[in-house]
Amino acid sequence: NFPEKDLLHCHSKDVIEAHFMACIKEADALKHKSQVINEMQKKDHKQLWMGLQNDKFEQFWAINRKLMEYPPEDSGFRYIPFRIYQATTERPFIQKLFRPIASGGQLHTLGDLLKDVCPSAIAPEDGEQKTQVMIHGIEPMLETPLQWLSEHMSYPDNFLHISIIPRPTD
Amino acid sequence: QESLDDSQVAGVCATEEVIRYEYHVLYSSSYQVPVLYFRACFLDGRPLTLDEIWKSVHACYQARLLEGPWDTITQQEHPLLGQPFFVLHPCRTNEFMSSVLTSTREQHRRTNYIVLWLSTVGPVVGLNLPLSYAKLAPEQNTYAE
Repeated sequence: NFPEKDLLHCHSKDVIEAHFMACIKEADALKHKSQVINEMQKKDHKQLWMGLQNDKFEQFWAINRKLMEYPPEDSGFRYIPFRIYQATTERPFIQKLFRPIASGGQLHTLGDLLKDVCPSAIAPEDGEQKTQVMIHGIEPMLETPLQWLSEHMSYPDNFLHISIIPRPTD
Repeated sequence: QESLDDSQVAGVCATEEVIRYEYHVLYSSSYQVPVLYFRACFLDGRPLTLDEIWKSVHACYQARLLEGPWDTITQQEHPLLGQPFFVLHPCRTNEFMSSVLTSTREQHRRTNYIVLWLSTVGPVVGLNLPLSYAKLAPEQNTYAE
């Protein structure tokens, strides 16, 4: 009865662990050209997963903090791992290469990201903002630096999962 | 009777049933390499499970697969269709492609990146490129870096 053709069927924790680790690896490919994740041992990868699975914050962050660091000579990650979800399109998500730092050295903001990859999300119609940009159920200011958001508001898989939803009209 | 095009081939698994494979080549901007997405089902429409896919991997690749099955072939959502597809993990692609490309360049041979890549990864999951594809190499090297 399970709709195998439409949904990923997670038969076991192994499936979820594999998916989680694949996301972690892809995020690090974007942030550090996979250097940090590849330098880690298998037991570190396992600790990330076990920390998440067993709700052990310290255990998880002991490893995850390394994924949130960057070389002192840089001002941030190479690219920011993000996915934007919009119910108004058929497309499952928007994911593109986007740098946290502009060529002039300024920090790119959440608003800069949206203007570049999803302009309809913040285009005001008749001067009114018809949509909300949400991360973890809250609406961060569009002026927030993307680098900061990536370090502090990523999901456990190290991606920023951003939802664009209609603004409530009450 | 359906005609076979480039994207669909009939393969035979251990129990002598006919399986229809569908292959998609996508580009991963995260890894900056092509990625092979595929799905497979029996003729009655029943999709193959991950276990059945692993079992259908050619014998000569089984040893590598068993080293880390979860690192090699897993299910992911197709980034455009949203449906579950099996994916050959792209994280090693740069590794093996650079060694192949270095030697072909040293020999000053023409290369088509996609043909090189697909002829390497395709056979792992039942996609065997006819040799005629090798004759399609263009005058210049493609986006190899």
